[in-house]
Amino acid sequence: MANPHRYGFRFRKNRWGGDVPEIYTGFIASGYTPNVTGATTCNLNIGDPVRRLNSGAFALTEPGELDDDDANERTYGIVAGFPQVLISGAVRPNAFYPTGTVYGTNLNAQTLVQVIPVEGCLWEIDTATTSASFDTLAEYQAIFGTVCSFSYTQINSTTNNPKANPMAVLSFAESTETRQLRVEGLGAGAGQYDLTLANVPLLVSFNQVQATPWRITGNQE
Amino acid sequence: MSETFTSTAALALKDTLEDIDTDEHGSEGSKADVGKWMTVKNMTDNYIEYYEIAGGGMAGEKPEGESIPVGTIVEGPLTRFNARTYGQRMIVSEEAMEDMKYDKVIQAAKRNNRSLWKLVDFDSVLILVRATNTSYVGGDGQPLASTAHVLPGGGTYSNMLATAMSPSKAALVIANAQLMQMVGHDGLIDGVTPKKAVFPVQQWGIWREVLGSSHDPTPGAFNAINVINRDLDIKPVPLKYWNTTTTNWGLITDAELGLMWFWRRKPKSNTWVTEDKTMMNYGITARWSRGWVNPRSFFFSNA
Repeated sequence: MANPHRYGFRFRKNRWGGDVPEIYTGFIASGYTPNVTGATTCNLNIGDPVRRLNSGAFALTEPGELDDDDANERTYGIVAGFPQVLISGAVRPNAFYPTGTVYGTNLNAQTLVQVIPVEGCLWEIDTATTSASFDTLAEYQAIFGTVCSFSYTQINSTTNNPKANPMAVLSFAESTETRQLRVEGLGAGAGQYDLTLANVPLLVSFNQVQATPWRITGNQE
Repeated sequence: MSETFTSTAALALKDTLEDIDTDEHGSEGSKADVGKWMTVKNMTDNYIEYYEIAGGGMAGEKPEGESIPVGTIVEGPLTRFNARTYGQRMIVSEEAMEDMKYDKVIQAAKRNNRSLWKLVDFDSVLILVRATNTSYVGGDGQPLASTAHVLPGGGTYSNMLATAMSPSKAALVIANAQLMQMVGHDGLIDGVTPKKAVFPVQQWGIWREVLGSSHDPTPGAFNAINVINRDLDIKPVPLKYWNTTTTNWGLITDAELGLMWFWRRKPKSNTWVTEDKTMMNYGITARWSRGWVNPRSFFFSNA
């Protein structure tokens, strides 16, 4: 059977314990339209990685790119919910952020987003493709501790709620491509999954985070 | 994907929906397939062990005045079953609990129950998926289905069709002949009897015909009796979770200590509250082990 796909980054645990992750509630800019490589016309959904702009607003994190260590590839957190979205002229919670939602200067109608900061947390993310180099438990174990990146494989591009669909790229170790993730292990159910297929859950941490205690030169986003 | 907030299923916050389209939940344990083809038992320790002993072979002639030939026993492998823990939890905000208008939206405990019991069925069928996978071996160092299962006193035996066949009267005649000559632990012909047929659901029709027809279902031979139906009592068990093949099949025999499922602890639900965040946690865990001791309990066609 094809391995069932579970969307996005899923919270697995905090390195230092605690049964419920911390939530940071922020906002999304009025009229924001997610548009990054692989997810050019999508909404924001629960499980998507977001970065915080130097305006304070959250936006979809860029996927790992070649020779491009910009700050826009550093993740602040993972979307957990949208407690306030302007829908049909009035605000209410919504399961996704409809691209281009405009609230203007009316902050009472501001789009709010709940984010779980990624630092200190381990996450599950499904693999995007298959590879003959990574189709056994031994081959997967051999990349525990190494780095990888995520990319977007947008789904529902023309129907309701197009999703960015972040997935792990089956390419590991040092590269000229920005590797935002570190592989920590295999995720829940991997023991019963077919490792020769896509959607194998990887357990990852983020090593490209916005909360880094080290100063980053250039753009401070 | 991590926690359930009011926004997670925002359209269920008002009483405007006719119904919720979701997976069916309830009585998951009684719907599980595992008990239909595996022997379900309990284990009381962290791990349990089975020890194979063989002997003492065939008796011999005692010439007059000489001593009686001496028999002996020899040990085989130790097969150990280690209990592992499996589980899932869902985290739901108090606000979502209060505001969701439909029971079928969250039903965290029921969803957990379904998730775990699905894992039970998938995990059990992995034994068949990996039947010939040499990375997943039993006590004798061989996978479940092998042409070279090890006898404690030396030698090997097979629990596979020499030439894989699709299910048919002819295939079962050959399989049964092989099973009737199955050797015991001491290597002497003993014989076992097929009791169940396990197969992917794509084969349900042909198995119904082969096992259920009183006359030979083979075209051109309709006047012959179907010996499989008349002389054997094989119960078909289609396994919907065995979906990595449409052509393989297996027979489960009456050999002791065959395919077994051990509960160390049956699914146990738990709930707790993270007070500072007013988040409800719904958890479910279970502990089990599964496998086989005696490969004579299984006969495989790797078609």
